[in-house]
Amino acid sequence: MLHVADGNLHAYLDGELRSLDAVEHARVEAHLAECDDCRARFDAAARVRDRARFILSGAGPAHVDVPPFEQVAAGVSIKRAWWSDYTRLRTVAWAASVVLALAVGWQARELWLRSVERETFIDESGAPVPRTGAEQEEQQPERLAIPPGIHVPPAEDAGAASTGTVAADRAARQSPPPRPTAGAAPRRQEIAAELSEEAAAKGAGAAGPQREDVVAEGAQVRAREEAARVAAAPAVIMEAAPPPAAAAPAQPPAVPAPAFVAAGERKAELAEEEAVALAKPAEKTAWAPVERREAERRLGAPLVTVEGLPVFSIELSAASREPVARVTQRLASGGLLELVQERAPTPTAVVETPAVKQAEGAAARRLAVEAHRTEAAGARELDASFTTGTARLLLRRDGSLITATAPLPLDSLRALLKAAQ
Amino acid sequence: MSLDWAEVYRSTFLDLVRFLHRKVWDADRAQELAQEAFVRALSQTGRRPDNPRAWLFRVAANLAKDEARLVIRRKKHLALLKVEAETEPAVEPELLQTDERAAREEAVRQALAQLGERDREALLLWDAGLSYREIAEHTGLALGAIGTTLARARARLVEAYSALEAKHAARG
Repeated sequence: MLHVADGNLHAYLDGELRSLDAVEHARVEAHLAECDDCRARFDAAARVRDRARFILSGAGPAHVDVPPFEQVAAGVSIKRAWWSDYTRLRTVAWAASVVLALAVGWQARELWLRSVERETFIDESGAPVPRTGAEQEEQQPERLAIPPGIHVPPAEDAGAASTGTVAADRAARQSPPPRPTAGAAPRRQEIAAELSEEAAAKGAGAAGPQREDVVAEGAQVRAREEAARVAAAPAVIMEAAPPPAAAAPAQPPAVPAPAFVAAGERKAELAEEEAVALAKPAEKTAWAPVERREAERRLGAPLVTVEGLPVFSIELSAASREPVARVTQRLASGGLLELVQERAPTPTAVVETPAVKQAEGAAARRLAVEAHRTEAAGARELDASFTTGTARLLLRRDGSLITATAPLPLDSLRALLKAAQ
Repeated sequence: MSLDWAEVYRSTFLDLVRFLHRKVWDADRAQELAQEAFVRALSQTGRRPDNPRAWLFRVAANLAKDEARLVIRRKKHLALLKVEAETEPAVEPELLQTDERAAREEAVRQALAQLGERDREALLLWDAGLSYREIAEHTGLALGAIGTTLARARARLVEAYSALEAKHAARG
């Protein structure tokens, strides 16, 4: 005969067993009728339960004033009203916060845009806009005295020495065009779109009347096309430079030319050169994949790569006459390291090569200027910059110029290149 | 069918106050918290609890927990002040209980303190009139375990209280 467990005995005692388990309730009832031990346990459990209840009754409020329900309900309505006010206030506060955040964001965007534009602009007095730190370092080549034999085209004549022209020259000198990082690409698209609009507006409004040459108009048209093309393929533009030739003619001759610009010479010829330089970046993006051996053969030097990083691609520039190789390696972070390598004879010799004389040479000229400047000091690192999360280093190594670009901090890229072979 | 909160209030308020009293050990505070539980219940627009009584006890238990935390913080703060002021050692609370009812309440409090938390909770809920099913829902215990839990809790309470009584009698 199975006796009743304590739990069921108390559940039976409390009148809960029937609702929990009717079968067990019936069994306990039958068992208690015939089992004296269990009946004694049942009585003991009842005494314990009653004693417990008695003990607990000693710990309770002696007297409770039960407030009328209406009073409690009134308290609720007051609380609801307060809550409603609070909720409304909170909603307004949220809306205000969002508006404020948007306003701050917009202001920050404007400031950032201005700072980007200032990188390529000259102030009204004709003096270069002051820069600090690394920016100054980056800009130095343009302000340095030009080594003899290096031909730098004047930005424009005095009448058209607009900021846009300088910017155009700068944009054209970006060589090789770095691949945009994921974060930078949308921004560049946006800038390119703005530039395109600006170019179109300025071009339509004041095209040509102050320019004497026909070629300049051609340059303007090409520049507009260039801006539109950049909007479609933003990888080419590295910085926010206003569309150069398009902006140039519209500017009144209020701003004197920068110090290094030889003003007022061979306008048509320069305009043509400039126009060609502008058209060039589109071609420079053409890279043809090749075998490493072939690349090294064309380059006449071993390809520089960072050991331990998988090589993503090896390409040769299809547009450049001089062999320019590009090696892309995948970083551990998933980003791409780009090493653009080209032969670099002595700076003077670079200037003399036909490649430099052609429009694309704008970039090579800049490198040559930098090489000339820093090689004298025996430095191997020629230039370093860090913009929009992308570090760029220009190195001279074993007779080669190497431009390394990667979405890394500058120091990391530098350390990485030490391991390059 | 709309819920008649007035009826729930009438049938539950006293039980709720008693339940809360054994949690916060302060009659006025227990009453305030019971009212607060109802205020919260009535503020729940668009939400109708399946078991209003059980829901109220759950809210009340949470309020009591918050209250206990507050009391602990206050005690800590007072303890710090006491150390800073270097006052005389505190008088044992039980010695402050002058009348018989207060002494009895203190004994119950001490006896309940000897129970496990779940046993104590189940016992107080049962004493407040909740069914086994409601107690299970409230405590998270299995329905079949409530009888056993209550059996153990009752026996432990009686035993602890009797021991305290004997101790008190021995002191004279």
